[in-house]
Amino acid sequence: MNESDVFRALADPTRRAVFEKLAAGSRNATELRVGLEISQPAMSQHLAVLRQAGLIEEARQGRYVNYSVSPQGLVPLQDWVVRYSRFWPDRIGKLQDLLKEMDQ
Amino acid sequence: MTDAADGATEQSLAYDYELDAPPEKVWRALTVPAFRDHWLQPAPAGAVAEVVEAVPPSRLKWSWREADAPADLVTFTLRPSRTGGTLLRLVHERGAGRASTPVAANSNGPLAMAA
Repeated sequence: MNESDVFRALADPTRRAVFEKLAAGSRNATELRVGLEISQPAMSQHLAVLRQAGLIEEARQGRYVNYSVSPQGLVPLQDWVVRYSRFWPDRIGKLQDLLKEMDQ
Repeated sequence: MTDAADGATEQSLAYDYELDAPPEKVWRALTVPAFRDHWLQPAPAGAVAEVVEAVPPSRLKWSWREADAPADLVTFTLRPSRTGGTLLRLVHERGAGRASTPVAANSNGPLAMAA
């Protein structure tokens, strides 16, 4: 999983809704469809995208597959914040140095 | 599946700086490629910036794209300070780049910034 996978997975409103439901507790695909106007195949596809992005995990329980959020799923987004939180202050520091060297 | 550009996770970073140079000079440092590369490089994760809006010497917007990720939007807003310097506000919005269409006027074209 990487940042762009996570970001793309959550850019879709339906997948975001599914992810938010799972954040409240694990559910199977049928339970997840409650309140969402979405076909079973479409739900399966959304779940596959979320799973491939590392955002959710699945566990088979009898006839059902239960889905739950992956604890590490949102870490890549936090990485983005950390990366740019360091990058911009550092670069603005370099910009200030450059301004001193430049002619008016 | 769709790739909605509706703010999604709504992540953004904002910084305020007071720079000891007038807006016109800061503007040159931000926009003249040789100056810009001097302070900006190396960009992380192979990021590529493209000018999408330029209103000298007060507002500059870049589309900021890392690898194959959705483009971010980086906005610089410059205001003169009371002491003859510049109040610089920098906002980096994740995934917001797609919402704005590149502006032909003042566009310097893609700026390749190898990491």
